[in-house]
Amino acid sequence: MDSGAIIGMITLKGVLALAIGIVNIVIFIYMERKVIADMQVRFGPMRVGPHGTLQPIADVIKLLAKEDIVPAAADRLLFILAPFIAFVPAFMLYLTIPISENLVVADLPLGIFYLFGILTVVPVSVLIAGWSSHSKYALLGGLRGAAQQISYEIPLLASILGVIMLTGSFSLVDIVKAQQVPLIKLGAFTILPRWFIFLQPFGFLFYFTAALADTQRTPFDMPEAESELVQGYNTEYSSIKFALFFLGEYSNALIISALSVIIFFGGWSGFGPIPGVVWFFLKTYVFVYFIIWLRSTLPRIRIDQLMDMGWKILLPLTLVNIIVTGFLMIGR
Amino acid sequence: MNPELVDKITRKFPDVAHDISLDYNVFFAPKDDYLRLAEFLKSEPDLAFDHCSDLCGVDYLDYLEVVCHLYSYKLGHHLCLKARVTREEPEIGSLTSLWSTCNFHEREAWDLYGIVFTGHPDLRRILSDDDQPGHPYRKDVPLENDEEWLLRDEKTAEDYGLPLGWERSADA
Amino acid sequence: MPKLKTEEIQVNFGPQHPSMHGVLYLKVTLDGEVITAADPVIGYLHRSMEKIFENRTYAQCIAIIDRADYMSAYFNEMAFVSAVEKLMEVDVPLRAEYLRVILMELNRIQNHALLYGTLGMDLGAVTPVFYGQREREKIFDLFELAAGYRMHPNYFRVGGVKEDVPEEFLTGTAKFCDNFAGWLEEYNTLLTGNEIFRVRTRGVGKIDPTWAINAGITGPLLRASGFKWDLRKNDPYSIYDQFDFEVPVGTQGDAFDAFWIRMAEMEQSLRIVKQALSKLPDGPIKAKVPLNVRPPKGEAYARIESPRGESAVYIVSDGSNKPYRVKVRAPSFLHIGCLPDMLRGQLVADAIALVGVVDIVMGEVDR
Repeated sequence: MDSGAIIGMITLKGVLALAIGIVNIVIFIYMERKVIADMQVRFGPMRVGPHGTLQPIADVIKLLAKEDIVPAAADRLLFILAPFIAFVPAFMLYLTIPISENLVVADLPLGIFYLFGILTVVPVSVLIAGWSSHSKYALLGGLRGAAQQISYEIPLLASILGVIMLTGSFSLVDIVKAQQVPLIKLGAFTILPRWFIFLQPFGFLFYFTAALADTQRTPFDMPEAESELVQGYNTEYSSIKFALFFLGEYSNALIISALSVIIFFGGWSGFGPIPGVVWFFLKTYVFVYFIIWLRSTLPRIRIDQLMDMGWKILLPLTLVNIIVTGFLMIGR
Repeated sequence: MNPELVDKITRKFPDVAHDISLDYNVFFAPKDDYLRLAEFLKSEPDLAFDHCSDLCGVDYLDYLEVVCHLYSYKLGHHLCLKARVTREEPEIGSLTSLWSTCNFHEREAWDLYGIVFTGHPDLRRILSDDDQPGHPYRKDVPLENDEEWLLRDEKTAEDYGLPLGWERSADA
Repeated sequence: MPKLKTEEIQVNFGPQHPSMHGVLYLKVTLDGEVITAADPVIGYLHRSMEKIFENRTYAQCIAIIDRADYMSAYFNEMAFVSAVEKLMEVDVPLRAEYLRVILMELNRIQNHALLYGTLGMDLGAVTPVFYGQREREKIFDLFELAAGYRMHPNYFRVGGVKEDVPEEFLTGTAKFCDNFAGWLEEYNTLLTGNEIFRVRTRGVGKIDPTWAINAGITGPLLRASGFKWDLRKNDPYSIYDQFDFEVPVGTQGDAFDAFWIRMAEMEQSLRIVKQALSKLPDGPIKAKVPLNVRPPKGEAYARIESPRGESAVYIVSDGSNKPYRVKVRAPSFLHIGCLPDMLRGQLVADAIALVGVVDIVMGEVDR
C-alpha cells in the first residue's frame, strides 16, 4: 500500500469513528430525555417525529439557528477557542475505543494513557471558558469545574491500575482479550467469564464514581449547578458554541460508559450467536441508562463535600486497592 | 391580658393612655415614653412580650400613627402599642434593638409613610424604587394624574444616577 | 499556615436567576465560596395592595388579597375575613367553618408539596418537582370544584363562604385522602431518605429558638428550631380546637428539620381534612351578612397559621364600606429580613438550599 492509501484509510476510519460517536450521542440525548420523562411521570418529547425521535435533530437545528453572542467584555479569542478545546478532545477519544476485535481505529499499545492524557485537556477548556466569559457565574463555574476534574483524574486513573496490573498491558484490546477466558468452568460450559468486575469489584466502584465526577454528571454536576451558578462555565455561550460544549459533555459520558464495559465488563465478549458489536452497545447502553437514572433521582453534592470525597476517601481507597491487588498477584 | 397588668403599666407610665379595642388592650405612648415602654413590656417578667407580630404606619390625616402588635409566647397575651407623630416631624425611636424583626417593619413604614425611626441601623426604601418621590401610602398622595408623577417619567438617565450616554450605548 | 489573601466578589442572585424563588434579588458578597454578606432587595412585585384596598369594598378586597400569597390563597382570605368578622362580631355557621378548614388544610398540603419539589430542584434533584406537581394538580381540581377557580379562589366571604360545595368535591376529597398517604410515602423514599439530601441539609443554617423569636421567625421554621408553637393549637381560631392533630417539632433547627416538618405537617393536615370530612354538618353556609359590608368604626387584628408562618391582617375601619387601612403581616417578608443573618458564613450551595427551605413567596413579600 502506498502512503496515500494509508492516509486515506486512516482518514476514513477517523471519520467513521466520528460518525459513530455522533450517532450514539444523538441516541444518548434522546434516550436521556425519554427515560427521565418516564421517571418523572410525563411523556417527554412527542411532537417531532414518531414519539419525538427526531427531537435531538430539531434541538441541534435550533441551536445552530440561534444568534451566536460573544459578550462585549469577553476575551474574544479564548472565548471562541474554549468550546473547540472541549469538543475536539472528546471526539479524539473515539479513536482508541474497540467496538469489536477488528472495529477499532487505532489499537495503541498505550491506549489508556492516551485516553487519560486527552481527558486532561477538558478542564483546560472549562477554565478558559469560565475565565474568558467575564461573568462571575462562569468564573465560579470554571474554577469549580477545573478543580473538580483535576482532583478526580488521579483516582480515576488509579482505580483502573489494578486492571492494568492484572492484564500487563495498556492496550484496550488486550484488556478485553484478557477477559475472554473463563473464570469458573463447569466442564466445557463457562459459568463466569473472567471479567474484571469480578476480580476488581472495588476498582470498578471507584472508577465509576471518579468517572462520573470527572465528566460532571449528576450527582457531581458542580460546575453547571444551575441552581447556584445559572449554567456554570457555559452561562454566556449560545448557538453552535454551546452545542459544542453540550456534545462534548455527552460524548464524555458516553466514553466513560464504553470504558466501563471495556475495562470491567468484557467489552464485546458475550455468548450465543449475537455478534460482539451488539453486545458492546448493549452493555454500553445499560451504563448510559444507569447514568441517566442517577441524574433523575439524586440531588447534587456540595463542592466542598465533593473535594473531600475525592482527596480524602477515593484517592486513599484506590491506592489501597492497588496495593491489595499487588499482594494478591504476588501471593498467587 | 388581665387588668392588673394594665394597671401596672399605667402606674409606671402615667402619660400612657389606655384604651380597649375589640379583643386587646391599646396603649398610646407619647413620643418620649415609647421606647422606654417597649423596653419595659419586653423585659418585665410578668409581661414578657417577646414576639413583635406586626408594626405598621397608619395615616390619620392630622397625624401619623405607628401601630405595633406585641404578643407573648410565654404568657399568651396580646397588646397593641401605638404612638402618634406629626406629619411635619414624623420621628420616633426605633424598636429594632429590642426586636430585630422590626428592622423590615420599620423600613416598610418609612418607605410607605415616611415615619423616621431614629436609631434604626439601615433605614432605606424597601418596597418602592430608590428614586420614588414622597411616601406613597400617605392619604394625601394623589392616586393618579399627579404632576410630579408625570414629570418623573420625563427624567433622564442622569436623574437616576446612571452614567452619561447610557441610552446610546444600549442602542449600539 | 498564613491565610491566603483573596478578593471578595459580589454576585447577584436574582431577580432573574434560575433558582431564586420569584423575583427575590440577593446581593451576595462572596469570599471564595463563602458568603460574607447578603442584602435582599425586594419590591419587584410590589403592587401596592394595601393602598388598593383603601379604595375597594370589602368584598372586592378578598379577590385582591388572593394574590398576596398566591401559593396559599385561602389563608390570605381567611386572615382578612376573620379580621372583618371580628370587627362586625359575626358568628360564622358551622358548615362554613368546616368547609374553610377543609380547603385551608388542602391548601397547606398543596403548598408543602410545592416546597418539596422546589427544594429538591434547588439541591439539584430534578424529579421531585414533578411528583409534587402531580398532587398539587389534583388539589387544584378540588379547588375548582369548590370555588370555580384554581389558584385564586375568591371563595371565603365575610360570615361564611360563597356557595355550598358540590357532592363531587366531598367524594373527590375523600378519594384524595385515601390516596395521599401512598404518595407521601413516595415523596419520602425519593428525597427524605436520600443520603445526599441528608448530607446537604443536616446541620445547614441552624436556627436558635431565642434568636428566631426575636427575629420574628414563625411557622415551620420556628418549629424546626425546637419551639413548639402552632396558632392552631396555642391560640385556636375558627374550629381548630375540635380536631385531633399533632404539631411536629424539630430538634436541631437545621434545613433538614425545616424540610421534615413540612412533610410531617402534610400528614397532620391530611388527618384534619379526614376528620372534618367525617364531621361535616349540614346547615347554612353563610351568616346573614350583606355582600357589601359596613363594619363599625374600630380596628381588628386577626392572625392565623399559614403554611409559611404567622399570617395576620390588621384592619382599621372608619365605618364606611371600604377599609381605612389594611396591613398584611406577611411571614415571608420577615423571613427575608432574617436571611442576611442566616446566610452569613454559609457556602453558596447551602444558601440556595436555605432560601429554598425558608419558602418564600414574593407575592406576599412585596404585596
